[in-house]
Amino acid sequence: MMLSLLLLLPLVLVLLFLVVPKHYESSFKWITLAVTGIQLVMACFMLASYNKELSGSIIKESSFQFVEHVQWISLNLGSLGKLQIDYFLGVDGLNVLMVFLSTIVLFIGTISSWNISKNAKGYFILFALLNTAIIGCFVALDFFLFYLFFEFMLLPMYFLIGIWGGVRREYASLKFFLFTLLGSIFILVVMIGLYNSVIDPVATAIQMGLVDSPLLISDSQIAVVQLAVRQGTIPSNQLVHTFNLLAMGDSNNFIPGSIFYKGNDLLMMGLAPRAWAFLALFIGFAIKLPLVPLHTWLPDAHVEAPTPISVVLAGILLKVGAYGLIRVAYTIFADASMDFAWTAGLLGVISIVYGAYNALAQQDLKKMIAYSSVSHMGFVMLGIASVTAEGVTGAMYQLFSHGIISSMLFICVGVIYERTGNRQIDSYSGLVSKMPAYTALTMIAFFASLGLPGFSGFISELLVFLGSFNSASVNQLIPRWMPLVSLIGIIIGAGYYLWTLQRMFFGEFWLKKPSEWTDFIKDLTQREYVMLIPLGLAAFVLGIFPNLLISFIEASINQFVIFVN
Amino acid sequence: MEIATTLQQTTANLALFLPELALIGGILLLLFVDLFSKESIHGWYPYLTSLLLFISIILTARQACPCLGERELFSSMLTLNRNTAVLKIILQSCTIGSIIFIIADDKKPTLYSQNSIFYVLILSILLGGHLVVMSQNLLITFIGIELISLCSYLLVATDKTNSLGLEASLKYLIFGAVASALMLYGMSWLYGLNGDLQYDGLTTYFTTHTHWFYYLIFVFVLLGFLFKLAATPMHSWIPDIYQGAPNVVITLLSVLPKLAAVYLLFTFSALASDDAINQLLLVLAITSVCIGNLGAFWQQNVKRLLAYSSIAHAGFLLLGVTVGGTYGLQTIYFYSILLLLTNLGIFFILEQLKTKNYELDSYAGLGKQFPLIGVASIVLMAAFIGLPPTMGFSGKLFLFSGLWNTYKTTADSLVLWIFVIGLLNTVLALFYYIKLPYYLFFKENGGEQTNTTPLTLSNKFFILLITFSLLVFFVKADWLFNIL
Repeated sequence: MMLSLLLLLPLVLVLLFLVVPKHYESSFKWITLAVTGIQLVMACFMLASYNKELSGSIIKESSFQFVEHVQWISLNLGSLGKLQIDYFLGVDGLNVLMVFLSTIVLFIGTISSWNISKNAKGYFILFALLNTAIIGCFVALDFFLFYLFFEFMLLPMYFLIGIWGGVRREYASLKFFLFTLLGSIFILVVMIGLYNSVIDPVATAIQMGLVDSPLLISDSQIAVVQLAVRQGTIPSNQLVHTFNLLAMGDSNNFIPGSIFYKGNDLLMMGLAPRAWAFLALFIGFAIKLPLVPLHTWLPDAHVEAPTPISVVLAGILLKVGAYGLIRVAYTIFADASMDFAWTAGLLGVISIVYGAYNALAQQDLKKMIAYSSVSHMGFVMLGIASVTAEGVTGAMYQLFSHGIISSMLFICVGVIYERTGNRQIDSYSGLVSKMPAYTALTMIAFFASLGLPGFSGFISELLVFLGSFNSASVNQLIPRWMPLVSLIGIIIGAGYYLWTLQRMFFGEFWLKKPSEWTDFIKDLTQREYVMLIPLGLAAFVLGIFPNLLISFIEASINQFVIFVN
Repeated sequence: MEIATTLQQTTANLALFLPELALIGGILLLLFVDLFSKESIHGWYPYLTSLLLFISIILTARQACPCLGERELFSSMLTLNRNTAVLKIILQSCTIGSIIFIIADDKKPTLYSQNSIFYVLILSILLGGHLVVMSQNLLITFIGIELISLCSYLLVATDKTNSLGLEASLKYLIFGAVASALMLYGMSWLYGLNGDLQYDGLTTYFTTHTHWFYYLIFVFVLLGFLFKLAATPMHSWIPDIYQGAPNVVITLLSVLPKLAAVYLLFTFSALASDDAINQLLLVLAITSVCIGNLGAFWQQNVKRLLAYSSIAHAGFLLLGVTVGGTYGLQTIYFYSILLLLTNLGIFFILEQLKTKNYELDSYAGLGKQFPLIGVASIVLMAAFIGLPPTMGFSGKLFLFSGLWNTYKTTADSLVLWIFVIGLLNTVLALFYYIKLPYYLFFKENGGEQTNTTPLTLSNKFFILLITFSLLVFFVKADWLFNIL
């Protein structure tokens, strides 16, 4: 029930906000804060009771914890068989940290929304919807359910950027919507193909009358069903097609002759259907990640989004893309992913370097950080593409670490923007004399982000580096020059962060419009401390004790690496 | 003796013809009431019509039992089975839905209460729909289609003070007459070649005739159906009709004739079961989808935008036709109910907002003034586009699953291309569908006050009902799908 509660709590909030009259809307932020706080506490409890020792194949339901699995939609398609959609939630090492991260970022995001005054009712309703969609996306183990939440993130996000955003918000929100929808259409294409190709052995066994309840089925009975499917002895109207992501990962569940069956020698324009499917999923999730050259929506969306939405966007939404790659693309089409490892790694490296170069060129502080996100997500891609234990661990660690650090960075931008309404780097100089605490915390965020040893960013980038470097000797997927080239990204990263520090915070105090701004240049408020200090501490603690998090994920990641290789 | 048995059978069959008899009786009743009654009673016409429709629905619901099996009526002129009964219920619901527009309008415009002609026409369209759906004979089909068409021409011109409506009606008449002529020409050839007006003769049509000319004849007939469906290449009339006709009428016309036509296309493509015809329908379907979506791209008038989008949806229905089989029909029905709900919802909203000319600008900022309408319009648009969590997504999912299956069985790469292009059209659709919520919420009202009367409670309830059904039929799509 834990995951369902996490998921449904914000939905209850939506209903509550809908019926509460508008003149109570000043209390909405408190209620939202309470709910996201409860979610955070629940996620902590979940981590505390999470069994780190449990390990098993990543496509077995038994290796998941907090599992909830009930039948949701069941359609009888006559001669085409049956279609089953499950309400299937669970966590393993691949998503447990993402759930935790989501609750942290959403909690911080709520605090950061404190000054939203324009139509607060609408804002907090949309924020709660987004909350549900995000959590749902991470815990869903049924492709249909996953897709539902994946798409449902778009609409609230569109309105959150489009109504509460900056000057060019309409352009940015539509661009965001169109890009990500295009990506999800690619995913939808594969989803339809997949469920037509895959059966649920358990449900098929029940349909055939082998067992009465999914609880009673044994592994040998599943093997019998899978053998019968392979031999084609089950009449097609008894096959139960499924969206179950775990069933899709098992090549024994594919119907022979179906389009994504491994054994078929069908070629479509020179590539096997499974390769096309992997490519489509890859593009779909790469838009979300985002990977160069599909990243152009991100700087626009970030720059126009209000601070809390930037925090959520960078802190969690980008992670959904990476999580989708791991859980869906690489797990289901492991064979095809091997063929594209080089390309994926290359795109990762390009993102790292190109993102960093772009960040260097930006005048707008928020845009610079947006591009640095592109650069950091490149490391995630490189780590995943290497499919080594270190690389994937590094990628996961980077997801968490970037979630924390980028939230902090965007809040730092928000601090100055809320005071003056200007984010240009060259509008400020010597801020340290008036805002020492702000300067200190921004420095921490910058250093954490550029990968200074002692902060979490260093650990993740190091791991990705090790993994992709080792890949040449372990599985020959990533050539050694790729991690070496990606080093350029780290160096430029140090460059743009230090240069910005120097230009904005040090030197003589100067403002572009002193008459208008001087009164507002004050140091951090208590609310801002509450957001920045825990995040900074987290980045620091995770940089010193990486095992705090890695212990949760290593079992699953090892299984993942074995499975994909 | 012969005549006696035929008569006996005919009278026995009348028991299965009760829903239609109720409609015919209703039409006559309305005409007579109009002749002999005082004007004060005219306000009751919508209620009387709804009552008649309700009776007709109950009578039809009894036919929807699978126990009835397949029944032939009136010397095999008509057929009755579960599929036709279900479709008839959908058509009746659509008609009731449009009557609700008049009931919901608390100002009770004189337009709809001068005389009963309007309601007679509406019931006649429905009767035509019933005939088309049940028909087993080309002659009945033609009569049914013409009944729909003639009433539609008149209904479009309901508001005689609106010059756009009159123009649209005339255009519709001219286009429609040409389409009917083409269809009738094709039908006469079919009759000549088969020597029989019954549908049965068509099953062997393409096995015995293979010359391209025979295809041409068949295509003539299909063109007549495509006109009613407003699919390419017979789509050019629809934007003017949408713009000119009152919302009540469009709600009816955007669903009822289209469903009748799509059912005919389904029946005929099943009868012909010919690869070339199927491929033709596939190509027409995807061109409809693309032309509709591209046409809607730059529209600044909501009604014209919806007209183009309806061309796209006609394309999706056609895709359902090419899927074929029981599953194909179920998908079409599911999609039809989707179209019924979305069209009812969106036109009801447009009717409530009462802007002058339906230009997008005139909706600026109204979302804040009418939050319920704003939210409902977002759900409706999501359903039109096919985004989860609305029924629109389920509809598209079923449709494209069917198409995928076609690809699996035929291994025709054309199908795969159409599959991909069809899905990518969703992105195009997003671009223009999002405009209405965009204007409702993002744009500020330019000071031009349009309408400030708050919604009545019952109207709010109706909007909520439609919105919720769109959501519920996503969450439990199987409830609906498994009974279709």
